[in-house]
Amino acid sequence: MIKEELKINIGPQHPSTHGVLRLVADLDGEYIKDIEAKIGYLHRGMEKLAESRNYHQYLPMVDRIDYLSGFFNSASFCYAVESLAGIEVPKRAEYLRLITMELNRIASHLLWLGTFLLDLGATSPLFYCLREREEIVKILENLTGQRMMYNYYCFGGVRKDMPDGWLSSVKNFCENFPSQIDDYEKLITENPIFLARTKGVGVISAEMALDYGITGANLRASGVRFDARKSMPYSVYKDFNFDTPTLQEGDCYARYQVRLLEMRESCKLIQKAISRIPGGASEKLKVKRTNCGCNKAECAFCGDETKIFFKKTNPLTLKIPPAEVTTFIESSRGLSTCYVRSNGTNMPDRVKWRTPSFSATQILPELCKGSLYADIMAVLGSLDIVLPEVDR
Amino acid sequence: MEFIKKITSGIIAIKNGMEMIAKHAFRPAITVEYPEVKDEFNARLRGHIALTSNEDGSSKCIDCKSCVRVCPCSDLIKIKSHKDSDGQVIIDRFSIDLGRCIVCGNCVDICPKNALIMSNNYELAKYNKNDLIFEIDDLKLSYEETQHLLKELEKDL
Amino acid sequence: MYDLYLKLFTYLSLPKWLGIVSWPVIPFIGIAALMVLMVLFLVLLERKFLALLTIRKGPNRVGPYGLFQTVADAIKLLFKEDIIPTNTEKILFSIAPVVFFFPVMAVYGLIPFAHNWVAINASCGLILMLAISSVSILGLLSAGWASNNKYSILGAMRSVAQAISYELPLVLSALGIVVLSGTMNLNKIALGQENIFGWYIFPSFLGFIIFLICTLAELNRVPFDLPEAESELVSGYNTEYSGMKFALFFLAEYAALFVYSALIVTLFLGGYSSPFGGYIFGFLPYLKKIIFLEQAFWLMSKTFGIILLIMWTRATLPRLRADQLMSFSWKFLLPLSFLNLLFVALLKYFIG
Repeated sequence: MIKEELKINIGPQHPSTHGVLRLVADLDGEYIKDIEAKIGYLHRGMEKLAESRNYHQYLPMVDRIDYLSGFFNSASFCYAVESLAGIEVPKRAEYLRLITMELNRIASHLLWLGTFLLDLGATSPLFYCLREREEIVKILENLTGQRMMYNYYCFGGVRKDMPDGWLSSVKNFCENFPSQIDDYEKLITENPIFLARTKGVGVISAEMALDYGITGANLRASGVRFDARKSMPYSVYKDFNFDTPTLQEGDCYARYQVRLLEMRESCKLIQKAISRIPGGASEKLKVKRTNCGCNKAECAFCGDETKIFFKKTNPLTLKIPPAEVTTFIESSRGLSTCYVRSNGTNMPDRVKWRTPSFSATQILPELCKGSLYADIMAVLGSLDIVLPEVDR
Repeated sequence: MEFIKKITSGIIAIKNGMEMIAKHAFRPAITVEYPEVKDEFNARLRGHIALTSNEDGSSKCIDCKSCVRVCPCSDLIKIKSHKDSDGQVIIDRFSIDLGRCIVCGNCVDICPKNALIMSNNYELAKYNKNDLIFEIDDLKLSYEETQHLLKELEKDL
Repeated sequence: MYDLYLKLFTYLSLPKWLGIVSWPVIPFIGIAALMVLMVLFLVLLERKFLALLTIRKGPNRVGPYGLFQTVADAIKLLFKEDIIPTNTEKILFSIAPVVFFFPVMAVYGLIPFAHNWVAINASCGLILMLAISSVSILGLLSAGWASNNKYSILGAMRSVAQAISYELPLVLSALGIVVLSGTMNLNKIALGQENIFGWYIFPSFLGFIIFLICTLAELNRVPFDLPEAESELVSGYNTEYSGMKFALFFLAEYAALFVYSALIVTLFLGGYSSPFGGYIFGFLPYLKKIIFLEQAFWLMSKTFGIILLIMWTRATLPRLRADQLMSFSWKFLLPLSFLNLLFVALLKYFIG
């Protein structure tokens, strides 16, 4: 009897590989014998571009490494250069950075949820998630001027203060959001078809996850409680008391639950940050500044804490002495690091990015061997891989 | 017993899901019927780059080339100028290749004389790629528009 | 009606034998026209209804409220290039959509639209309907094979396995109705359900649920649409088809949707009889002549209710995996349908 083996190419153009990923699968009937991921279709040479541009020219390009969570990449580069050059960041700017980063995390997770369910076959939750994301993107557009490539952080703080009425719009959003997550849970979490599709599928054990270098929600769903915001705190995360949800099973269902819990935690974190931001809402701050007028450093209205940058850096004269630094940021997909080496001029010597989706793509063959063809989509969707991060 | 419990919980979950979807049928549609209806934008929207102008119609640029040095794309902005008898700078050529611009706003932030500004126009479709190289006549805004945009930005900061 | 028709021929001064010969053909022309209209309308209804459930507007540019959208789509498909892949059997490739489409069209003649308004009044209409509609699976298999494409073969094999395994519970649930009503003639089954308490959904509710689920599987609809899952197999067995052949596949699916819904309504929900027992038109003597209009109205409204229920399911549920699909049918639905048959038979024996 001739054994029939099919070699199928789940090609670069495909409605649900989240970008241009090419998977070559060896099928035996319906079971997968081997799968291989071929990447590189979205390679733009991000690290090479940094060698011929100065720091200020490179900063708008950093947003585009993972365009769904642009603030995190921008933050890691800014923190790297600021620690190399010894630039201080005022407190209000740090709070603004935290609020925008958490809003971006919620937006990225919402898009992940919509496309994950679309892969599994349910077509309507995508539109509900995109409607929520539209509100967040409008809020960020009021602040920065763009919907996706924000270019908002600068070395030393943020570029502009928030407009009038922005803080109350964020507060309204955070009050309405938990009930929307409850709606999604009602639709999906107990659904028997969804449970049959994702429970017990694509189990990652804790040792396997640590071997492959997987971080983020994928790791926390396998039982290892690691969050860069708590272990290696940056920005003002030290001042806040928040939870990192961890589950033990490690299958697709656990990853889904962890991300939903993370969205709720981010919402609570934003509400706490809004109540504690130095200076408060900008319309009140302007009025109090003109009334006070003292210009002392400790004043609660005109002092150092309520500025958004201390000194604007000049792109022609920002020369950094030779040193190297690595920063760690917890982006929405995992631990993202940036290594910068300077050589005394105003251009960096070497910039290296380590992105979490690259490690997550490597675990795909081991998870899919021996399972059915339809499981590839469930596993690929639950790992939250975006191709611009993988290929850079 | 467990089997029956599983079945009933499954049926209740499906019923809950279908109820939630049916509730959405009574919410208003969120479609914006472009191009008859357009969304409103605020002053900070980063449209394409434009040149401000003084009262007499000349631009404020002094040809310091800071914008060229801070632009991520290498040869996007081309400026040529000469000095006339009073020592004033007259711009001969100011062209920006808007097809390659990534609308980051670095040049607007760094210009010392506020000669560059981000306009609110984002509808720039053309049939030819070379039509997107805007010369100084296309880039310059009128004096009233300049004042209007600057006032909105002042309110904002 | 027959005399009126013959009088029309003498009025137009045409020979009388033409009228006698062409009288039996008229129902079939009517059904063909109905089928085309139904398909055009259902495609648009699905898009608009799904858009309503997902807080959008459907197509609304072509014609008022988008009513001519399907016509525009059909014209576009007509003008497309007809691609036939090399290295295949060209005859099989071209015949497959036809084999898929014709059984669906033939079955339209068996549905009773009003009292004695059936094109083919067969005494075993129910079994004939189920048998003819299962011929279209052959078209599907040959479409997948003749496409010379790995994805198509996978999709076609899955689809055939699914269609065959879900036929058994379908037929067994329909058998419960035969037990309850004592006949296989669809007209008499609809007559046997007088008012809302006589509808056969109440004695065999389990049979109704099983029949509904098996209909979803026969029509390749969510949650059983693995053969044409867009995100997994890029459209399955009809990947290689373009132009009018693709349009035939597409339209046959929607035509089958209407037929199966009408069958569900006739078997379980009372067919063309109204839920109140008597007809509203029956009270006025001069309206009694056009009572068929009211019967057709009841049939259509109930059918559209079931169609909307099926589309509502499409918006809600995700897709089942291939092995879960098969185990659901063989291990769960088949024993339940036997139970249903037993229950209905005992009910009929003791209560009558």
